[in-house]
Amino acid sequence: MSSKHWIAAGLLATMYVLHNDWWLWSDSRIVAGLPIGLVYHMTYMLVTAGVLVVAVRLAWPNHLDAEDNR
Amino acid sequence: MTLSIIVVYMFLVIGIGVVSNRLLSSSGEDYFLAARSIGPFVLLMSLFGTNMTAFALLGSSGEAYHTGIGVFGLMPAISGLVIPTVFFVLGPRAWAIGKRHGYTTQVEFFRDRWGSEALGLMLFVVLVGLVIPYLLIGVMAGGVTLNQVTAGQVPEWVGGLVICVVVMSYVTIGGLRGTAWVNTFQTIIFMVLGAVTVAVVFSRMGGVGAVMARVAAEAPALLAREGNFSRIHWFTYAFIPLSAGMFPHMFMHWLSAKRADSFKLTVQAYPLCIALVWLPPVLLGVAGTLDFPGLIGGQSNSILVRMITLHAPGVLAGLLGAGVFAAVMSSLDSQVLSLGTMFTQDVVDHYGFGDRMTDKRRIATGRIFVAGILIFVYVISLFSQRSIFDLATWSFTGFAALFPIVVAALFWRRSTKAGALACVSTVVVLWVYFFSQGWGNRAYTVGGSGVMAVAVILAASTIAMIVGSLLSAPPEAERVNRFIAPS
Repeated sequence: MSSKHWIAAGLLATMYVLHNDWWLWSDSRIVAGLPIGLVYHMTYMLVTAGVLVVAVRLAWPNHLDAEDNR
Repeated sequence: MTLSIIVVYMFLVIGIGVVSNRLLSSSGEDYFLAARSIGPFVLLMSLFGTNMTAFALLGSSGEAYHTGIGVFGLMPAISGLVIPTVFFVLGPRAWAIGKRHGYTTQVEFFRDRWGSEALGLMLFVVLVGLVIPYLLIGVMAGGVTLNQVTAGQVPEWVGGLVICVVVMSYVTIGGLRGTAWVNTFQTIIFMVLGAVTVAVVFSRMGGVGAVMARVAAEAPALLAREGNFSRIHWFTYAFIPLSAGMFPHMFMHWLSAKRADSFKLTVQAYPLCIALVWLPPVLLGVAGTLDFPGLIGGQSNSILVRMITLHAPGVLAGLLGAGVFAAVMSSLDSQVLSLGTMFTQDVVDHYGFGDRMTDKRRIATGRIFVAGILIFVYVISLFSQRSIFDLATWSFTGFAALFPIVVAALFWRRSTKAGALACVSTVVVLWVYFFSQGWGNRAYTVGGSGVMAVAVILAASTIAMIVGSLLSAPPEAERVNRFIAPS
């Protein structure tokens, strides 16, 4: 694997860790009209989409289409 | 009015199937894989629509009713990471191999990968068996929805029957091309209607903030995860979305892509799509505890529809009913088609029954098989009182536990048929064991520890794959080279 692949894998692994928001486990505060745990995970999904955009740029298997065109 | 909207919607969906049939050539590859011509947008909509089921709408709202907003983090948040990662890592590679060697189904892919008839047959039985509970939740959801939006005038058995007949009709007419087109249409419908519905209902309830403030006062436990989930349950539930790598219907959609690049949009947009679809039902499920307190177990499957019919009856209820049907049918259709395809390719053709048949006759045998499965599922749905969320979780557990197979097939040159057989056998034995242990207990975890059965079965199936492979003779390099390029 190249360094770009490792960076992409590292970003995705970080997102996996961040999914486990133990620090908000018992927190039922309302923030912006919604429970804080829900706000956290909505934000988490937006960030995940951004991370996947980066991961695709870094580690997409471009050789597959090239091989198919041959 | 409500019923009329749903009826019009059903005819519209069948119409799309008919239009796509006009564009269909008579070849099996067009019927089963849309001639491998699906571009990025339709691929996203069909993969996403296929994966968003009654589980996402009725199951999630029903579960949120009991366990609160944590359902959003438990399932869609981690799915928004794991599923696109699975598509990213496995989808384009499986597509490339499938196109190069002309594969149509998972079974022929794996059978050829390890050169094992026994593995092919075993996988066929296991995959069909695991799809059945998945089909069941769709049929049940059709019944619940039609019953609720018509205030009980239409009995549940009619809704389930309607779903089966409509899906069977447009899949039969349009094949995978029709299914992909209908899925695209239906996915847009349920995403838009979900957003509109939650906006209308919450505005009539005084706004999201006001509703959450009432929930905080009356049922504060629903706004946090403490007491609703254990940390270990949360952690191990994250293995469930790996199931996307082994769904037979998902695999067929992968193979239908035009290019490997067609997957990029799906990978990048998936988390946003899943957030859009899951948020409204989770919010409505939690809000439902205010208007409909005291629902027990599977009764909460109907909370979403109850909320709509209470706060937005008439046209919106009809549209929402159509939206729920859209979500349900956009999964059922692909599942039905994949079962029919597997039967045609992996049983009829593979065992030589199809040698003297025309393409049309081969396809017809697949349809008869699917009709039989649907009748079986429909009959079970008449008696099942299980929670939709619960049933889906068991189905996903089995598929997720088979995940080592697809990873080994694409990345591990040393893997062997003995390893693959050991892996599938381990999944069968442990799944049956845990399913029987958890029967009737919706909060079942292994030994009450909080650990989801999927974590244990996946760990065991991974070990079985590795040990079985290492203890058997290395595979022929020539066969492996067809799937994994030599380094």
